[in-house]
Amino acid sequence: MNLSKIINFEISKKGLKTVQGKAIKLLAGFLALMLLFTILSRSAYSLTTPKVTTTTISSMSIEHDMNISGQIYANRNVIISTQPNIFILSVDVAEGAPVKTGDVLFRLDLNDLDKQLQLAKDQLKKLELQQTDETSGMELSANNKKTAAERAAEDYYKVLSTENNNVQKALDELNDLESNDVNYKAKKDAYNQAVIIKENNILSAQRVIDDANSPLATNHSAELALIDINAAKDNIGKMELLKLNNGEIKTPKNGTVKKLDVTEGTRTSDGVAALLTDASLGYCFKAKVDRDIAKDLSKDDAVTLMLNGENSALENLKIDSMYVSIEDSNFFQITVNIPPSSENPESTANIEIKKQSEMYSSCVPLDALHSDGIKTYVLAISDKKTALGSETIAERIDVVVEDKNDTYAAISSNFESDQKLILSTNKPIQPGDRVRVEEE
Amino acid sequence: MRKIILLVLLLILAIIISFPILFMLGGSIMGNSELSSYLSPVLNDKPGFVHWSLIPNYPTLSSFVALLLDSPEFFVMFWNSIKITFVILIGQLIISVPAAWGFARLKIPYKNALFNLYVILMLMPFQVTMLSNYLTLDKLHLMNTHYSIILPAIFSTFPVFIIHRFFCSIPESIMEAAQLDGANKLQVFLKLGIPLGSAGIVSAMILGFIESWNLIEQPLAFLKDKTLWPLSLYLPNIGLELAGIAFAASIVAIVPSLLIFFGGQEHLEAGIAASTLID
Repeated sequence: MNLSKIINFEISKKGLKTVQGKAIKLLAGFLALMLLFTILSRSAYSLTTPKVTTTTISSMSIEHDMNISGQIYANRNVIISTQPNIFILSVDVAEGAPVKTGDVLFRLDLNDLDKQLQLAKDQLKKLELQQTDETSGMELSANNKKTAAERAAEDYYKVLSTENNNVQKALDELNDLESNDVNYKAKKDAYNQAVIIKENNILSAQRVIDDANSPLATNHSAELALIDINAAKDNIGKMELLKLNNGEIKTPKNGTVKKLDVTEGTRTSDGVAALLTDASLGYCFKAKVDRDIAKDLSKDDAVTLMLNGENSALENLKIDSMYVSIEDSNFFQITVNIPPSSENPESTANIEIKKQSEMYSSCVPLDALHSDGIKTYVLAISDKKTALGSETIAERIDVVVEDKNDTYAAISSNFESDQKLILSTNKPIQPGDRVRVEEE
Repeated sequence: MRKIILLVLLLILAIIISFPILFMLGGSIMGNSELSSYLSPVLNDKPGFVHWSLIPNYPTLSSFVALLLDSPEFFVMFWNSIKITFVILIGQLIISVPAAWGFARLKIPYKNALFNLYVILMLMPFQVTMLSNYLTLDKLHLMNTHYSIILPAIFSTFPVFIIHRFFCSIPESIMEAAQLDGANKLQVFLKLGIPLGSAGIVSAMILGFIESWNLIEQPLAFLKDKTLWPLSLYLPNIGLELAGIAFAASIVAIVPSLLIFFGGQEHLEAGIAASTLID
């Protein structure tokens, strides 16, 4: 190194324009630029970090509010029928109307009733006369047969005696002749003929006896006529009762008119004129529920019945039976008996059931649960050490849902009591993403 | 003719030596899909061999955007590196320059033996002194702090060695002339020694900067908290999915070293030459 240069060493005044100067200026500019980018990247980091709200795990029981629709049926129906073919004067009730014992359902025309009654009586008389004729005819036939049998027997003995005499006579005549007599052969023939005639006549007489003793054909006309007579009498009795009641058909029990098959101006038919529900035996609510809903129900669960279209509610009822539906094993049939003191018509109704489950130690709002299609998980807040310090990240924790309703779910997993779970976020987040907890 | 052949040969060698930088430049402006197609055989265990293209098929600045605007942790590490490096340099200025002057100019008993000890310590790699360093720093409760990196570097022997060479080259007659003029030893050091040895000081600072900027082993061993890590530890944490950002980070990380080098190139050459002369 040159000594003069060492002694006369000076920093060049043109330093900033030399390569060294430019390099120093560039370094300063580079550091300034890095400072600017530091601020920008921090701002971008802050803007892109999702903000989340959190919740903690709580211990509670899950309340299940269920509303099940179904139909109310009467436990028993009362069938109203009357004499057929009577003119209906008026119908006093309509289908669905509540009725009490003694209420008039419909009225029959008394004049027509009288006519029908008279016709029935005439019919009865005919039947009775018919029956008398049948009975006397049968007796006469029996007597005639007996007489014929007696006469046949008398004839038989007469024939037997006569023929025996004839055969004997022929035999005697034959015996009186010698075998070589010219009339022997004729007498013998006569004898044989007599025997043959005897056999034939006896046979004929025997046949007459047999015919006379043959049994008479069965004839139940009299009994049948008797049955018809009894039916006619019964019919007349009913019509007389109707007449006594002035042709009014009344309901025997409290209930509701379920079905009415009578029309003013027409005639009564042979079948059911009206079908009433019997309020004295109460009603039954029936509903079909899905298996998933049925697993939360059990026999004797308390229910409240809400009648459709009415503001009334029946409380203190319970599920009386629950069984697998016969039509579809994926459904359950539940029934709720409604006491007879209620006057509820058959209609659609809903039952409300509130059930409290057992106490669960880990319950979270439903919004905190997520699913990837295979497993259910929650996103928990956890701290992660990074170059930026302690960052808050969303950590995935797989859980198993033990029970849930519309707002809360009971989960099984090992959680600490103060573990915070992500409830909501302003941006979509995935497990492992950094987040910022919004302080409430 | 000889000069042309020499020039061509040197150019070829220069290009070959520059390949890593060229790879880095090309990779920093490649998209992730293109990088994956090139690097999958080695980073994703796909069959085949790695191949590379100096000029990307689909150049993009997305890696630089992602690094400079969407990676705040990069800047945390960058400023950590700046802090560590400049504090070390200032510390070395304060400690190493007087130490080198003492070895060069003062008459101290067993000075040569002590200086030889310095040289021996300078030659020892970090792995040899790591355990003793660790125990000492732990006792001083400096573990997991920047001082665990800064303090051992401040008291490094290498800058002493470099500056000592330059102080030795100052003629003794200048010192004597100054003393005759009434300057005391401190004045001689401050007014003559430092200006005359400034070249050595600058070269030591530049070499110290490059060494401090690229520290890896000490931060890995002594710093557990990621918020304290320097920039040299940013790159090992990136995988194939962030390969583009890795190349962009390499380019940004190399810029200060390049600028410092260009700023003190002349003095650096002298410093490197001096460091090769071990008496």
